[in-house]
Amino acid sequence: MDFTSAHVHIALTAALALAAPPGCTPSARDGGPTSGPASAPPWFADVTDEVGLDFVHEAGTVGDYFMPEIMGSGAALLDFDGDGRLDIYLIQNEDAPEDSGAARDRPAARNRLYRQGGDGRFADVTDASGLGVAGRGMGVAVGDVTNDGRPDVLVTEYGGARLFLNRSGETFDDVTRAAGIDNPFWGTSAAFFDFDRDGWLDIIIANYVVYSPTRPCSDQAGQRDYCGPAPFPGSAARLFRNLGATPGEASSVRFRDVTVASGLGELSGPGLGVICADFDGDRWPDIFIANDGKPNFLWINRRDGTFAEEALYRGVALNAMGQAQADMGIAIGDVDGDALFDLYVTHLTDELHVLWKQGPRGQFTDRTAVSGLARPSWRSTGFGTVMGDFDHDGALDLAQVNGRVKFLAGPSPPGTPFWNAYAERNQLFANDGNGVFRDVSRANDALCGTPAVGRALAVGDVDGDGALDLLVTVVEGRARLYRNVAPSRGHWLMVRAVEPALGGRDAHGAEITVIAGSRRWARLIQPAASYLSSNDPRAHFGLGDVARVDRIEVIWPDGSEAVFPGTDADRVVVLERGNGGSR
Amino acid sequence: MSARSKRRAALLVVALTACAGAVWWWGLRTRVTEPPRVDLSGADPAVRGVVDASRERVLANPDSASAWGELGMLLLAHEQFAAASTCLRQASRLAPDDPRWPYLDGRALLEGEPDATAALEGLERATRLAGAETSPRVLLAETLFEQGRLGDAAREFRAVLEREPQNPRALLGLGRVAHSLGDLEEARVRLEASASGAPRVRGTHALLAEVLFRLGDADGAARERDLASRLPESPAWPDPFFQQVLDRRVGALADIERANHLFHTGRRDDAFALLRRTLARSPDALLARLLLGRLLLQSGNLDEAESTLREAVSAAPAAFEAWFELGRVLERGRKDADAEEAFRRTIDLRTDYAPAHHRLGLCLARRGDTAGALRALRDAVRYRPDYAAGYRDLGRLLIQLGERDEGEIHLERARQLLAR
Repeated sequence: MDFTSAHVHIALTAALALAAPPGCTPSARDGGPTSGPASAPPWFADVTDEVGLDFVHEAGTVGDYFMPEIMGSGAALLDFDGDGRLDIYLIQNEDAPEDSGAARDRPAARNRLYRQGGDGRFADVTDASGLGVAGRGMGVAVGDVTNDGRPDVLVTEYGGARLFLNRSGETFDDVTRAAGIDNPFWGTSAAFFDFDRDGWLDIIIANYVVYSPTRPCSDQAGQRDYCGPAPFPGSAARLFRNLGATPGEASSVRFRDVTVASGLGELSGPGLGVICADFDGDRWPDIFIANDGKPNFLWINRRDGTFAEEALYRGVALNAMGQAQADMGIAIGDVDGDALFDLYVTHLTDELHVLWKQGPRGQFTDRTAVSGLARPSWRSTGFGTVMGDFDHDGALDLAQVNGRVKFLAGPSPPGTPFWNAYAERNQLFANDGNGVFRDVSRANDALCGTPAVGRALAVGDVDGDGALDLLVTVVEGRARLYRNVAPSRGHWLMVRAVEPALGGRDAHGAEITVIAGSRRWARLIQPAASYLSSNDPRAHFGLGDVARVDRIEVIWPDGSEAVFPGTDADRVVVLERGNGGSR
Repeated sequence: MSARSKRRAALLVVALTACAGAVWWWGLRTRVTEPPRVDLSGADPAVRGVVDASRERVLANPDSASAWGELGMLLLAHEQFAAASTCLRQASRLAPDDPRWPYLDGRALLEGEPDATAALEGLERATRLAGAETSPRVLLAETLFEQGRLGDAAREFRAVLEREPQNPRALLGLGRVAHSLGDLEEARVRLEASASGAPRVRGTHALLAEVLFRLGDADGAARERDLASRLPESPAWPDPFFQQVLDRRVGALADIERANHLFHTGRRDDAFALLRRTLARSPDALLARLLLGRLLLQSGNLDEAESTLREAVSAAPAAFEAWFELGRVLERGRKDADAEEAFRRTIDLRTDYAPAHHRLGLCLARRGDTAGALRALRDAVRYRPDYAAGYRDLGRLLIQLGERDEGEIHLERARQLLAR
């Protein structure tokens, strides 16, 4: 290039830059300051085809804007056959043909159970399992209610709930009625936890609203769309106390509905998410319920079989602006290394997903903005969400799946898929180690690149390589499994905490703290979290460059403490209650 | 390169720069020449009508800020946020001194798929232009707060207080800033000052409850929580600019909201007339018909309420709310047999609708079927365990039937629930 042409080039560049109309510069919508580079190596790869997972979610006949179909349905990662590998249970949400306005020449789709083989592939074992039920399924929770060491399954539905007992590691029996589970409501997320510390896992079911399918809803322009919860009365969550089972007779397990006696019946809410943990530090499990469009509930366990609702006092009822938002999925974890569990709750596209950091113990403050989460690469309606240290740098990252519940500016144009108007991309946020997040969605095309109507999100080490993988469900689409392929991962530890005296079942509610030098990592054993989902029951720790931990401290669900000796990293350890040193 | 070549190159640069400047100015001035098209084919015809007409006015007067602004406000009023923003920005270009357009553009940008960064630009501009009107500055401050810019937010809230020292919204904002910074005592002072100026804002009492709880004042916290629980959800802060948007809402949904407001502000006949006009225009508007029936019942016009709701159940026989409302009207008209039938239809359609079980129980009790009444009332509280009226009436019936102990338990529960 000679001098003249160089000048001309510079001048043209300047001219074009000047000519760019205002408003064409990148804004937060196109990637704000918290966004990571798109060229960074991805953390996840889609292995759905590779592992043979062929589940397709059916939402039934669309066009009537029947609200349950937009809410999606759940997913569970569980080892139902006790072979040490995580299996998959996926929920359907389709009306029966006789209830459908349109003719359909096949029966309603059924929930599916997939067993993982030694080669990492999944085989559909639904038919013989007893779990292949049809209906308007919503959520799934996993826990051993009979203390026989085998995980049982609870499915919530639009208008019900079903409890399935794991008979032999191969088949399940529906014992709902005999066991005394009666939840004739729109059940959503559910959890197994031992609220009275008697050694038997109890059941909490979040219920949504008393929905009216004939009520038409529209946007302000009068365009028909799905209803939100506002026009309908909320339903109270239901608490079922496990009265126990006779040893060797699993089917003798009985529950009593203690919703009223416990105090939970005093407040109705449009509940979507639920998480059970000790929030106030008294070593009794409390209950946090995410309500859609109403203040959340934090039921503090009063240690006498009753709960007191204290969400407002403790800062988790409303966001920082004092608004009751559309709270949906819940992730729990210690994002800033202070050994206190924080809460992340997903919301609508025109709201912010909220991070409530805990501190002092039992008090929460909305720290969304200072944590870098107020300016994501794109706005979204979030549902399932999990915290996990995906790159093993020692800090909990965040993943969430997205999909609108209302269209943005109108329905999908004729000739295009109905669900396109609701599709959004998922998101992934990397923690810098201090509880500040960077949006790395653009660098994770497999998980975050394709718009869909995402709903459930379950996390666990599916392939047994010590890293957390993700299972995602979408409305009217294929469930997808994403394998963790984050490069240069640090060390890790996977901890299973079990109670030999209770059949060797997972110790729901146990708090595990791994200590190495001055560093401490805290995790909760509680598979029920996210939205309509059940996760790997083990606690996963990313350790960064720590190749050996000094000790592991446990607070068991009954409040007792134990210390287990240190161990080398990069392994799965099983902590058996009674086999660790007491403190 | 010769001197002549250098001169020519320099001239070329100057010429190109001038051209670019002209292009930029032209882009700034008339970047949007045609109003955006929005697909409202599925929308309420009334909405489509006003938007189309307004669009025509813009096409006829493309240099008119008010035409663009009017269309922007109509689109914003009917939740077409992106298109509204385009129009409001163009209005702002054409009338750069009018604070309404950048302010409403900021509002549009905070809705739909929010872009807080772009919204802040509009709000900052509106704040500069708005003079004594503080709505833009307060929203600017709140948006800064939401974005974690606490220092900037506090500065703007204080600027509002310099003009209006008792502005409760700004005091609330400063209370929030202090709370976020962990200064609970400062938060308490600000929040109490805000509550004294605007005692019916739920968010103030809610935050005050938390602050007092953390400060160890359990009684004060409980008092504030009770206050918060009795207040409506969102404060309607005065906002003269946005009120112009709300006033532009049309269609059945807007009519229903307006009729409700008219009825509850004493203009009952106007409310009925508006709903009848809506139904004449949109006979399938179930919500309008239900509201008309309900308001007629509230005003004691039972005959017309019954006929309105019979039309509703005839048009939408699967609508449980319509059967329930009809049952209420029949009950008020002492037609218990018909009311019982309506409540049973409601329950057939929606088993877990507790109020229908409750009203059915009362009907049955009046008709002497105490066993049926007891069953229905027990179902009411089973389906809705926080139903104070259900427990009250179940308790009373049990006591009437000689089951005093159980009756007292239910009455006590009703009292506890009412006290919450």
